[in-house]
Amino acid sequence: MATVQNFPFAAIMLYLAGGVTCCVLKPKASKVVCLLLNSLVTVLMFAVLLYTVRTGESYVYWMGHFPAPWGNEIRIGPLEALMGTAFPLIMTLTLLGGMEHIFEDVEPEKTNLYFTVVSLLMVAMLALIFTNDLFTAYVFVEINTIASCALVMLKYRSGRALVATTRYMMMSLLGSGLFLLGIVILYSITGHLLMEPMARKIRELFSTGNYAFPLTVTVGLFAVGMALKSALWPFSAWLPDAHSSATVSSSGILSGLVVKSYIILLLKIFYRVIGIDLVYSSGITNILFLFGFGAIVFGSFYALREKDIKRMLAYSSVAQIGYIYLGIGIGTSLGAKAACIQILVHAITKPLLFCTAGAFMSASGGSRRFENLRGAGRRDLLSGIAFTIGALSMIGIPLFAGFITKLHLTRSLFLFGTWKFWFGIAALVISTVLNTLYYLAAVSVLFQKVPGDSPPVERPSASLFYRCSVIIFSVLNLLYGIFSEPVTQIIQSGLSLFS
Amino acid sequence: MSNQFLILPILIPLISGISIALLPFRSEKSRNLFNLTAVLLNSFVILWLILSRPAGSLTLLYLTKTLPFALKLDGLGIIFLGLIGFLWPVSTLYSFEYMEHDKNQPRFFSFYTICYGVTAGVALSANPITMYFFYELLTLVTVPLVAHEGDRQSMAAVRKYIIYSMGGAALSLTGILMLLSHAGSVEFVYGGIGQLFQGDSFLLLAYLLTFIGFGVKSAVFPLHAWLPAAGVAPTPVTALLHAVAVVKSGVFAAIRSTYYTFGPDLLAGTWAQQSTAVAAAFTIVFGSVMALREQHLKRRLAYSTVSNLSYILFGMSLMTAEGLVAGLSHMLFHGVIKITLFFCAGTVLCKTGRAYVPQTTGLGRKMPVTFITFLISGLALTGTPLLPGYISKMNLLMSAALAGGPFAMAGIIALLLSAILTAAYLLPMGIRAFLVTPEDSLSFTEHDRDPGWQMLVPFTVLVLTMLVLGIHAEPLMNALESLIMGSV
Amino acid sequence: MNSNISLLFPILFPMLCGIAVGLIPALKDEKRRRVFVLTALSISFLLTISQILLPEASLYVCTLAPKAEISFAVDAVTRFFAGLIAFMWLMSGIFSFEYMKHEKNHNRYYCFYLLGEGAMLGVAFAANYVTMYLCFEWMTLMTLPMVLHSQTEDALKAGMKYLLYSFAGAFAGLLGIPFLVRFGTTLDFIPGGVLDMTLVQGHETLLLGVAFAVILGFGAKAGLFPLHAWLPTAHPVAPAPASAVLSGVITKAGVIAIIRVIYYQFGAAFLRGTWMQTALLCTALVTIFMGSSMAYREKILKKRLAYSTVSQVSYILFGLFLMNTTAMTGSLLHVLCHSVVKDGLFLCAGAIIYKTGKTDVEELTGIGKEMPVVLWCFTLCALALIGIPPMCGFMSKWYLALGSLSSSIPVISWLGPVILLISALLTAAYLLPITIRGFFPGEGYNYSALVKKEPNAWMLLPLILLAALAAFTIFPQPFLAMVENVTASLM
Repeated sequence: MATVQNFPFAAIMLYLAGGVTCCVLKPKASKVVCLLLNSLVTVLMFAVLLYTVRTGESYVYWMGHFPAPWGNEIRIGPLEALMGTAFPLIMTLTLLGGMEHIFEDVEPEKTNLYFTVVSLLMVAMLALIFTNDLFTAYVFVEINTIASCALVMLKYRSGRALVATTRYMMMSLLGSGLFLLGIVILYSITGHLLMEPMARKIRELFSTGNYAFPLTVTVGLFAVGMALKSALWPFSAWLPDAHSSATVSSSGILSGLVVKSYIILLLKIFYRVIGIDLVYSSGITNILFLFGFGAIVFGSFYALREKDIKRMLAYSSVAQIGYIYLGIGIGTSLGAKAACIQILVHAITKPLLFCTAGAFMSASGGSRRFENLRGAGRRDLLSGIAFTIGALSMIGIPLFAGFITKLHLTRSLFLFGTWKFWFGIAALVISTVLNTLYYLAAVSVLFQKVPGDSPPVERPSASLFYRCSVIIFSVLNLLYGIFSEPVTQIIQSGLSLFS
Repeated sequence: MSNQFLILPILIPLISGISIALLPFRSEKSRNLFNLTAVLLNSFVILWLILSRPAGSLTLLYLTKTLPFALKLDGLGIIFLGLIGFLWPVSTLYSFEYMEHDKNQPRFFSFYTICYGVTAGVALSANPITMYFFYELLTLVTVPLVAHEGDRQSMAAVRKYIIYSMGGAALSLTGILMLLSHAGSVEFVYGGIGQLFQGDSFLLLAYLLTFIGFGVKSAVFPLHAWLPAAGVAPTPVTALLHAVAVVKSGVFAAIRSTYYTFGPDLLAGTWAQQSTAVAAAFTIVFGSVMALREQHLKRRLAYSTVSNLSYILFGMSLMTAEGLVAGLSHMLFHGVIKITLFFCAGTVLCKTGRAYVPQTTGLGRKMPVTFITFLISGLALTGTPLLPGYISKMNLLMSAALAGGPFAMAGIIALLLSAILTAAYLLPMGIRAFLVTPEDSLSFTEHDRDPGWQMLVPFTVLVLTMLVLGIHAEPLMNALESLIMGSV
Repeated sequence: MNSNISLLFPILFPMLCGIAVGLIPALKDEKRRRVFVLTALSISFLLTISQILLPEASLYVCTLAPKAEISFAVDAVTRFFAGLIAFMWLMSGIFSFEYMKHEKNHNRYYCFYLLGEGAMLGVAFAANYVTMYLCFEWMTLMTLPMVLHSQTEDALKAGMKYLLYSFAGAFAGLLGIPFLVRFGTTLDFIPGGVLDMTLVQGHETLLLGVAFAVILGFGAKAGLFPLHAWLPTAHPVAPAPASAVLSGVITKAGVIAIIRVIYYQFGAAFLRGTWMQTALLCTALVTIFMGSSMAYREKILKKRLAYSTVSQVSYILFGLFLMNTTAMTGSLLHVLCHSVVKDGLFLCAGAIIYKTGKTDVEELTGIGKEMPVVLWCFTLCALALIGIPPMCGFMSKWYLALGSLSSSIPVISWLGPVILLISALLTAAYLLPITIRGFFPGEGYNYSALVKKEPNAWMLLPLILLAALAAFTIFPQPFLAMVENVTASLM
């Protein structure tokens, strides 16, 4: 067993340790520790990625020397490694991008707790990505929920944030509850909690036709549970408030990473536990497709009407998550591939948009409303350009990352039957048009010439962290837009090894 | 001859355009000089490329394994590139005087020049995805130009423009991807993939979606509504972009997809061809009728463009080489004629503030050069012999007669109806301008006179071009025929 | 065939003179201008005669586009019409020197008058369809300013109507070109037609439909129903010499075009005996009848004459549509007759307006006492138009009726002469009262206030000449010979 194979487990442990350490350190120190930790884990996971791609297989790693089916396992394949690399990287960049706002928005004495929460969040998310056991999954889902609620709530003295957190917590816990219910039913049917044995048992049961109804119900429970937590329309009411009232980094993390971790878990359950064929035959994918379509349409419409930049970006997230579910809902491997691509693309774009939005807010006296943000792009040219890159990616212009998603998603629509094709095309057209409208409107407001500009309150973009973060995000976006092929290959092979 | 230089017509305007926005120029004059020089330089580069004909394509990068971004100069590209190469310097010169009193000139000229590069990109694309990229970029780059005035009307026009254009772009992307999923990677080649896939209805659907998508920019009914609304933009924008660059890109893209991607062999005789023929024929008449009813001068010309674009599409829908040549000849001639008409309208608007047709009675006596140019252009568009419009109309009619069939006949009738309507909406205005003295001749001010040299030179150049083309178009027509076959 | 550059002279020379009159300031002086224009018209006339006396000559000028060549030639039809055109133009020109004192903007008038002559001659000399179409369109454009001349609101409306109807007709005429290219061998004018019968197989109805549309289109210029409505509006509103030329000559451009289309492109053999021929004949008859009835009811003199033109030109077309030698002879004779006569009638009307300002027929009682010469000329021309021997109209109508009766077309063969007769009666009814009341005003006429208002020599000369020509049937031979030349080559 290669050393590299230990890294995923090590990563989780490192984050745990880091979280505890940050608890006791001073804010500045904990910031350094957190950043270093994230960077280190990125490097480690990258090594794992190289390893899995080279060997082309996914391996199982026992936790504590108890073999299955009694012990606990994690499993790493190319897809998990890819996500595992991307998440810490994006986390690092998002933290860098929103660093000033963290120190501004969180109570000064409690800032180190922010980094603790972030570390815990990473523990949970990585665990969800790697886990091979349903109960572990549940545990970390809960930890994830708590950590993300804390992320939202930590915005200092904001009543809005409290309300948003409460709502988020309620809906999230409802989702977790449904998820738990699903696990319970499966456990009682199959008697296993570890994914592989459970899957074998389910296949047996499926072929004999026993427990057909409970199985379908569990599929539904898992789907709805995760849908609630990942803000699929119509369960998305909590997202705009939560994401917009949080501090800039939190918004980026929540939109870009947290919701994705739940979707990855859902994919894992579909592929590895229940079996993707059973899922497709149950018809749940059609419902997910329709919800995805609704998300795209409604998310975009509401984004169009928004006068507040962060809320607009939040509704845009609802629409983008809709894309992911559209891909899953198509019910083919091409669709799933498109969904994974969108997971990555949105993860690198939305945090960029949120960070630059934060910069605009600072350059305009802290206001979030568009009418006050006029000309912010000129005052802070770097952010303006970065925001435009993000916007163009969202619209789906070729050479930007967003186009790759559109490409694969559209392709996956063809090799399928009738009604999904037309719905998919309609979704594509509507979203392109609406995205262009509100993103271009935002860009034009930001670049408007305002007579008699008053000097901004702060210039956060002077900060090196922020500039690095934003530039790297933009470059990543363009790189992915131009050289997406290798990553697509990894996703494809990872998906085939996923089950 | 190395084909790396193919990137130049795109880069030069891009860089100059950005420079215009960012560099601090000493004065307006020096900025204009820089601008004009850059545009002329690019036109010379284009001329040089056309004459030296680099072979093969220049692959810039691979988007995915099967989708390259590549540039190539083939016959059809030469035609379009030649058109814009000729018209851009003329139009830039015209807009200097037009925008004299404008407050946002750097922004305007910056995007105006960048647009040159993007349109060149459309012409130079070697495959559908590259063309799609430049096509979408064209929409984005022209948005600030349409919205230039910043008032409510402009904003409403821009919204309409975005909705139609982006919606269309999404549909054409779908069509292109559908094609690629069936046919693998596709380069533009005359005849397309037609022979391999005859009878494939999935591909016919793909073609229809692509046609609708490109039909937005080609202003086919019912996707035309953005074009008259865009008349609120400053005249250089409407003239060059919405009479030449943007709409001809739409038609160009439609031709690329019909003849060089899907191919006449696939499409001829199918419901796809019939739909395009019907849409084109209807739009021909529809545009002319709306133009007749419209009293706002620029909107009238915009509806006229709607009609004339469908002349080109009609020729294209015949699915024969003759039809294509006829359509292309009209693409060239209409570009020259319509830009002149818009320039005249713009001069009237800019110098006298008059935007409506009834306000122009008698104005010809004060602005004789402008209105004589208008009259000549109007006669040209109507199809008077010795002027270019006659030749393209004849070509269209002949190719339709050759092709035969009920749809071609419907098109012929539509063309002739449109011709008389064109006479009705253009010629009386020109004549009334000279012959009638309005009751209130005090309404003429000292501003009502012919423009300065920056506008007169374009007028002269364009009228001379029209006269030359009208009398001696044979070399051009022969060149067109040999060019479209594609092999450079 | 020798290529003769001199063929261009009759066409280009008047055009150049016209441009000169329009642009050279030195010609604003009335005397100089008068001399210049008179010389120009005379030389044009001579040039034309010299060209038509040439044996078969042709000239290829250039190619506008593939299959669209410009070339001119002299053949029987050309000879017949070109001479007529140049002569008529000269007559009206002489008349106009005095008449235009009444109007303004002389230079503009003469400029377009001469340009129009060039274009009109171009139509006659055209050797193929494209050239003819080109000259046809330009002729409309060059003669338009003459209609617009007085710049009143009425003139503008009339001009627009003229323009649009003519263009609509021309575009319908344009329709023929693509189909002839597809189904025929060439666009050149070849007697007997150019259709390739093997290609035509199965597409006869299509071609007949196209031919029908083309003829109706070119017929607009000739006042053929249904595109005739411009004529009664436009002809009266122009200055009288221009009206004369419009009615007398320019309508014949439509006739030339129709002759060319029927006999030299589609070929009479193809068209004879078809439903299309019957339809055309009906159209012509309708026009004949309608024109005369409207003329009868019309009170304004020039408008009455205009409606008369509508009717009379359709006599010509009727004969052409019958497609047999006798009828052809009648048509061509009537071309001569009508040109001369209508020119004369309009010039008389012009003289009356010029001297007395009276436009309405009711006002013309006793005019014969004031202007006897004018009214005598009017009377002679009127008699010719009605068709009373020995005036020219009689001969042409005779041949037309004969031709109609000898054709084998059901109904039309006897209906034609009937309509011709009714129309003749109506013609008498709308022309003779003017003469009668003019010479015999009856009581109530103020003899004491009588003032002789005879116009001067410039105006009288053409009038007398034309009236004299109207009586040519007295010596019919030369004219019959001319006509036979044409019919021989056509049949």
